[in-house]
Amino acid sequence: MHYALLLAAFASLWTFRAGSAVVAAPAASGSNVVVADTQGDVFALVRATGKVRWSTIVGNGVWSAPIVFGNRVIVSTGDHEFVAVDPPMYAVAGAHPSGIVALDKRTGGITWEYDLAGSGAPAPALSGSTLIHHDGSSEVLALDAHDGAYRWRTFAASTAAWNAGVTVGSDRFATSGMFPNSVLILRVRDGVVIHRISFPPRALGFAQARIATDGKRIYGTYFLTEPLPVEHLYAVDVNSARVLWDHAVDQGANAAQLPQLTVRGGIVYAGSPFRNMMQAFRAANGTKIWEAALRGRSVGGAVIQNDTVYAADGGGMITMLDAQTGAVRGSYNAGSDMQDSTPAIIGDMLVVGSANGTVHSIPLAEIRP
Amino acid sequence: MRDPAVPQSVRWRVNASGGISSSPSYGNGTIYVDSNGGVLSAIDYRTGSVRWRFHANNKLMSAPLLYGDTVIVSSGDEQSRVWDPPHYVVLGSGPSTLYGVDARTGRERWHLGIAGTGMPTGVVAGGLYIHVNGTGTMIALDPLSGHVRWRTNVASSSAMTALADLGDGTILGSGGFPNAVYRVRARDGTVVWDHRFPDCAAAFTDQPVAADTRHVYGGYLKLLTPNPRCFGVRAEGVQHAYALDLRTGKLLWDRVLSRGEVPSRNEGAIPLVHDGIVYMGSSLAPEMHALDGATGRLLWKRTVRGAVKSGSVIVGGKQYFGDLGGMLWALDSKHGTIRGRLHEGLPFNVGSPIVVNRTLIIGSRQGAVLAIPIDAVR
Repeated sequence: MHYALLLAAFASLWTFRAGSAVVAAPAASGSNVVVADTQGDVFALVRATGKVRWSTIVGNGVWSAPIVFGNRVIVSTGDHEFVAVDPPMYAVAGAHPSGIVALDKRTGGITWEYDLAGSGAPAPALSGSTLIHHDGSSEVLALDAHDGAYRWRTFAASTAAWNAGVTVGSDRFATSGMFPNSVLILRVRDGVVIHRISFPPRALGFAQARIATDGKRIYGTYFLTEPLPVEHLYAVDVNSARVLWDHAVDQGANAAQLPQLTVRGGIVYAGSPFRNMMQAFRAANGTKIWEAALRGRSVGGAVIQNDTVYAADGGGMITMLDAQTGAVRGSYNAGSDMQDSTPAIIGDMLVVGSANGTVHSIPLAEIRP
Repeated sequence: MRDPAVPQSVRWRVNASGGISSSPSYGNGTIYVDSNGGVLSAIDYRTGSVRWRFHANNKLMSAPLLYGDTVIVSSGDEQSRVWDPPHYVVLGSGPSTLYGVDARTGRERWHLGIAGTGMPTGVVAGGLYIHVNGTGTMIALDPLSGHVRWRTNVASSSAMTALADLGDGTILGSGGFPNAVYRVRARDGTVVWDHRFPDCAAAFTDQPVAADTRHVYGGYLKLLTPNPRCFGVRAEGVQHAYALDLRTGKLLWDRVLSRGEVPSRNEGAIPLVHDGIVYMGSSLAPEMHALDGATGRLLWKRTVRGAVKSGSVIVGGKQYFGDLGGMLWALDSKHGTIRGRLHEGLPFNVGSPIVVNRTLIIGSRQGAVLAIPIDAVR
């Protein structure tokens, strides 16, 4: 009882206005929440109040979640601009300076930075103390997260634009890229490409859609255009590199970006680029388990806790769904366009950015029927 | 090169809108020249009048490449985007682009953005235009449409280097960080061999290689006092020349040529091989060297007015080149004796000369393109 009262006192409803859109998931950093916006401002906000503890400009936009590593906050910066696109063999993303920047988590001071040849908009991944990033020039670069020291690099021959790399177990890193369209699995130790899985040359989205993994499979999405875009969802076995399943999921016009996937308990959760809904697919075979209506589109990815899915959408609503059935358990009207923003649960708050730069911190208890 | 349709020798001087860092090209009565001001100029060989100018998005430091009626050039600058030698260096911080330009009108036909600088000069081999840039990414394009046919990465970053077509379906290239010379199959980018040099050697990003039917020739600088960053502006250095076996990439010989202060830019000296003799100037000292290609033995050395970073051309037993002291030279190619010199008062940097009929065409660091009868260098 005493603990619950303490939690309730700690959780608070606040908003903070950044200078531009906040699409990256916020990150917990001690008593702070770190958020980053698409014009390159990183803010440490007091978890309880939303007050700014420090802010730092890192030079270019931040599109992926800050990574808290020891006493560092690490962000990758870049832009979405394509320097060249020549399907099906070639693309370069990132027209402006890009890099990986590590900040002191107490002060926001820059402790190290490492420039990138192509866009830093794709999300890096951390495996132990190795930070791995796939950039818009097709390089996969590994750095020591402590000091930014170079570890290795590998040419992926496939371009990342604003997708994400993920670690698979403790020794592998997976990423995707476009032209040629592929999913790659690399060894964390030295960057050797273990598997390269090819996808149709006319497919779109391999540089944009973020893959997800449960350690056994890699899940991803892409579009085929015939003539309206068809969204595909696929799964690749991480050991055999076989495509286990690849299903056309939906078709429509006026597509938003491909949804960020979340995998938990044998279920893949995905919003829809075409419709205002959240969907759940069986990870083993890709069959749809349920779909639930939302007020707006939700492609930034869902967050899951205690068998509950939280989705933020473009209609300004945060919806709480039963993870097994999709039944709506509650909602909260935040009033901001959160279509592309990834929420995070920090303590007993849901924190999410939005297209107009407003960051919402909402006690989970406020998301109710 | 010879062209009976145009006069044997002409004389003119044209401003190319910025310093010149590459060799001119010639075709159909027209000289094409790039400039650091980002301008490709088409100059009438007969008169020196400018037919058209094409403006690129950054410096043009590569040699224009004429393919049919398309001139291919590549833009980019020398600033580093990633600087972590000896592990990882990416050159080119501004926009970098490959362009196909209509040789008759100067209108753009196609362009393709690249991630690293377009300073290196590409090559047409096996019907493909192949270019390597400041990220070490090698791209093969259809030279008429600009569409990419393949891409690979040779790991080494390139700046003022050039690819060389061996005429057998393979090409040669070189780059730095890691320091390497490589032979690559033109049809798909497969590496035939890749010879690595020590980390702390300079000039691999700047120095192209030359080849004959048996050997590959190049040069590099070694710092007298190596430092952990492997970089030595205003440090003392030693110039080396080397030969690799063309078939295997194995080192055949490596010898010291000269010694001096390492320049802040353009550390290389462009080699030429002719009749088994390797000609190489020096970025460290005002010298031209001739070496026996088979053994590396120094055949002769000639002291000139300034450092010789540019390449040279041999016509009628005479070797022509310019130096940074503003002098044009004609040396006996066998013995190195001075057969002629001409003081033009313009520093000649890395813009190598060409000879059309009996006219030497060369660009200067200050942006002038000169057409001079070779008989005037006497």
